[in-house]
Amino acid sequence: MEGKRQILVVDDQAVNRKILCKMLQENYRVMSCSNGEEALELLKKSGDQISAVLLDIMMPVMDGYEVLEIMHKDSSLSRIPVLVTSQSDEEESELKALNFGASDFVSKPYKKDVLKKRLLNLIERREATEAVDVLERDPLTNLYNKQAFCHKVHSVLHRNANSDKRYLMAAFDVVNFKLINDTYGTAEGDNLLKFVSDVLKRVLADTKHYIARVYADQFLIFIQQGQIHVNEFMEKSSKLLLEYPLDMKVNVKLGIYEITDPKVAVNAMCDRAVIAGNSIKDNFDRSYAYYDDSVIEKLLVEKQITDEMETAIAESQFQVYLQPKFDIATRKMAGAEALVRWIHPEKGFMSPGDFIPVFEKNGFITELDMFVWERTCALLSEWLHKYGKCVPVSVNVSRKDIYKPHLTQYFKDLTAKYDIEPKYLHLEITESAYTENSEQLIAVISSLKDAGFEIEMDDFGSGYSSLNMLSELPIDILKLDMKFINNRGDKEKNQGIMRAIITMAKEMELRIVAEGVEEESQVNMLHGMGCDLAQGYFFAKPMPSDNFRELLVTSELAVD
Amino acid sequence: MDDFMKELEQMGCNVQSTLSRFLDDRDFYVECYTEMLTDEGFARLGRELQAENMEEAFKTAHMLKGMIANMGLESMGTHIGKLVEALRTQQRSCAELMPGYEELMAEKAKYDALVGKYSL
Repeated sequence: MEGKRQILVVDDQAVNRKILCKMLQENYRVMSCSNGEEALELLKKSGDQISAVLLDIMMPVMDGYEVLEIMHKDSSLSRIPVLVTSQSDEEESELKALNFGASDFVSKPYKKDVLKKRLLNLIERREATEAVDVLERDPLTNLYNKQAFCHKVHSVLHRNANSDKRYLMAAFDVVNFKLINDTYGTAEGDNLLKFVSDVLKRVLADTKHYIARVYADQFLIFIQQGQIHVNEFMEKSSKLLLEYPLDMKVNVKLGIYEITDPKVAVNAMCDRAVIAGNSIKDNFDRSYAYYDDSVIEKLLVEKQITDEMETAIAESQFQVYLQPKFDIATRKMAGAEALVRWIHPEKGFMSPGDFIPVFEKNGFITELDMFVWERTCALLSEWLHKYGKCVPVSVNVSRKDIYKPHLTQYFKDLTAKYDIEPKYLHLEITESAYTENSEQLIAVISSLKDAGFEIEMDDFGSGYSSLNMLSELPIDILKLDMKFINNRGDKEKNQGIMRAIITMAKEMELRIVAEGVEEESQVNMLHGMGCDLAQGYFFAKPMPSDNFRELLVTSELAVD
Repeated sequence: MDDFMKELEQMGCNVQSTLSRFLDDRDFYVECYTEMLTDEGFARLGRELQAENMEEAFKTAHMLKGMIANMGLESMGTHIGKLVEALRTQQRSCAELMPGYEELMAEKAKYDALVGKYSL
């Protein structure tokens, strides 16, 4: 604060007020008013600029006790020290004022030096505390910052090193916070964070704990084991969060690390709690998770995959396999899907289910996709130019690829490089890309289609399908997984839905590919429903490109 | 020290410590002095006592006590102090306190007289 500090004098008696103002004006800027109500109004308006209040107790309209009580309850005012002006022989009211939150008192007649010294002491004490607060607290929520939090936790653990007390480190976060911030703006996001911090304080009100906000929506809680029941804690906090006025549900997760070894660095304890929370980020069924061996295992696998992916691509450990698609009516080969396989020199065949999600998370998927696209174009070119025979091959275009700048130009250049027509390259997108950013997806797909590429919608019906999407996206082919029928409850009902989808797709002039076809009966059923193409173990498994070429060269094709 | 201040001292005021409260600004003290004497609290206290309104009378007396103490007028302070205590304990009726009030006002009159005498 610049210049003199500001003081508020509250006294109903004009002469007393005058004396105080005169006494203090040498060192302070002095404002004055004559009753409690005026004082509160002034404090609410410019309390942040007031260093201290000199308050008379006996006043008309609103007395000093009432002012103290209201100030005490208001977190923005309770930090302002109040020096009560009493009379020399009134210990009782002095005590009462102190109980109501007064910081100190001076009695009439005022002794200038005593009054000034007491006032200065109060102000300096408060400013020192505030300076510490600034260093220790997160300014938005007033919770501890990470450094102060870790320091406090360390002290508690150190003090109780030889006791039986066991503690928990928990990481609490709002799963969809970035989305909320993005959709409603950062001001709304900040409000939500303040609300979350209040919710945590309320739910933990009866316990001894430390809470910190370490960044964005990441909160940390340190508490003794047994003080909270995790299930109850999550239920209560989720319920309270429903009170937050927002159209979007606020989803929260808790990761818990049970502190078994107090000698582990507090920072590492925080990390473990965060890791446990992150392990269920995409899991809608679970709101909390403990840090245990399975979490570590999963992370180790992920880390290993991440560590090895660059080498794998450099050493051609990734291979493109092809799974043929057949025309259901003629049973002739009509196309293929390019699938990536990772053949690890030591571990052998790696399951795509293990590494694809990791690549999607760490962004490597784009590089891998590009590898598959290039390899596929090379194969198409070889078949066409060497054998004069070819079927279109579909390749995966991941959600993240959609955001790649100049994607259409990239594909154009690629097909030009290998001298193949774009129609031979089918691009498979997933419906989740639509839910994420439909406008971007529509723009990208339209431009790809204009360039002559065929667009397939993969795995239709597996996620949050929307009929809107079908009408908005200029796609050519819909892929339906047979899981759609097999995995969910009522088989007959599902068949009905599948038939309806096929009929609708036909109306929209979309072709249908059924994937995961394993039995003759399924082929017949699909034929009956009017489905055009099928792929699955019943026809052929995914195979190395050499085997596929052989099959291609020797087969009669359903396309020219 | 001027004559007015000397006379105050003779009436029992500790001029030195009182003036220090006013930053040794004599004119400022005089300004407050005249303001104090015209404070409507003195008349109000009389009305409240007459109306037997002990609680309000206590508040007013209490306010006057602080003000008089700040002005360093101890002879008046003794009178108002007695009234405040009596009103606080409420052991005597307002009527019984009237003589005390009159004594206070008689004492005040002495100070009022100084305003004209020294053209304050």
